[in-house]
Amino acid sequence: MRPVISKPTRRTGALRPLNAPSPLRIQTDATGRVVSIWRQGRLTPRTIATIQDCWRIDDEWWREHAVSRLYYELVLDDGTLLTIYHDLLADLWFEQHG
Amino acid sequence: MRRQSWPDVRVACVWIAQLPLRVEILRHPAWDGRPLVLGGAPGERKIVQLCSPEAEAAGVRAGLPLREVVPLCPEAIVLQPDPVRTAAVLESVLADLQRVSPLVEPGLNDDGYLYLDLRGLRAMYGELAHLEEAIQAVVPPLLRPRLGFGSGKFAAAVAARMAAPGAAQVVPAAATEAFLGPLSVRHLLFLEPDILQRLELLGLHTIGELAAVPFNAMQAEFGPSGAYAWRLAHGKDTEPVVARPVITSIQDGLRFDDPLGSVEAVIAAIDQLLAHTFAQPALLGRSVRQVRLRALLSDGTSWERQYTFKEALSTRDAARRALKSKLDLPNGLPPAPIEELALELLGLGGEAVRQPGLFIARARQLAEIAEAACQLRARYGRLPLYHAVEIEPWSRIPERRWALVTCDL
Repeated sequence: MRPVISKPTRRTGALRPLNAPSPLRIQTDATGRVVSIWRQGRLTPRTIATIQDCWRIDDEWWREHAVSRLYYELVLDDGTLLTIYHDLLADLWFEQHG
Repeated sequence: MRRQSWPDVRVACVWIAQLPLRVEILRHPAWDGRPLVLGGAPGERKIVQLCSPEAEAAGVRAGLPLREVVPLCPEAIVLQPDPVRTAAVLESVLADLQRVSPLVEPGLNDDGYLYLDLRGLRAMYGELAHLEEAIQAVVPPLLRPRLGFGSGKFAAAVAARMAAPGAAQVVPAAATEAFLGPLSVRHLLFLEPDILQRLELLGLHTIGELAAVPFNAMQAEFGPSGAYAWRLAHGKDTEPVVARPVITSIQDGLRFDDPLGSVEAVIAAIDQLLAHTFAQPALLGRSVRQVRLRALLSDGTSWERQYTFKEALSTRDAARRALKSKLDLPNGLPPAPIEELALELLGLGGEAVRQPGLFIARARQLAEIAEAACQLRARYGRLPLYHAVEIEPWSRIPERRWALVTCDL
């Protein structure tokens, strides 16, 4: 398994975005499938029970910083419903409400 | 650097390094030169908060558990924080410096920096050396003040940090850039640690290297902080020295022959102080938002707490009830018997009255929110309230849809 540490890009200014993504650490199995996540501020990782939904957003490709994300709606082993995404350009993982 | 009679300098900075330890040395001059260690107050983490160079030489470092201090440095004197005496010494130095220059600004968080505006003082002192003597004369030598003179607050503060204890460093305006150039970017104390780390990752280790980066690149990469750092690196410091605002307060104190040890006795003493303060003519028809309690304790330490009431209070009974609820909390009272107790009422305003209405639920809600906002502003010094506003509700990117903007009430 390979832990991945990610960090979001910091945005400054008078406006503070709501629902900003927060970084996640993930662990994958030998096939590259995500099997557990480690949320910010938590002491232990949580195992993923099921993936309920998956969708992709490709946007702002005309800008310098394009957006390409693969979202997953997950159920964790303790029943928590969670939305995470994989930033396909930066190869980083974040938690964010959909 | 060669001294002129009055080089082109606008600000003087007096820096008292390790202020809490120097204040203890002021009380106990025999401790000067001995290893001193400042630990946490009762109820706080038992780690080293600050240590003197002599303790550092023995291997003691900030953050070290206190139990490891004695094995490393058996002769170390371990002290508890004494915020009341530290604040009193700083206040006294500030008041004395105001006789040297009318505009004196204390640094943030009692970090031991004091800035003096020098504009207009040349006619009075003639030579900078005379002004330096005047400053040195009002700061107790045991505090080991370091003086810096510069064209702005930043240059003066860095000059003070580079000066030897009890000495001064002068950086004229024309020499500011050359003086700052070789110094580490870590002198830019206002920059957040992650920005400093990014600067160093980019190979910008010195202020001179930072200055060589184009302004727009610094601003684009690091925002307002980057732009400000770039201006400072080029000696463009226009931040004025701002005198501390005069805060109206009413205070009174008591000294006890037998130190107060019980909760009831402390509450009774506070009640007496509230009776004295609320009876003062200055408080007639006015209300109070904050109260500060300071105590000197029988174990030689001191204790200070500041409480913000949920609403403005205009009677002694209301203040007593509110204060008692705070003191009844765990760790609400000092850890040792009280020898002296002072009570200060702050945040004085107009008298608070309440007029309930029948059909004004909305207006009352707004008034309550405004009241809560006043309390938050008094407690935190700024208003941590925000409106959620739509930005790009159609966006497919979730964080672009809504944003928080500062709420002006």
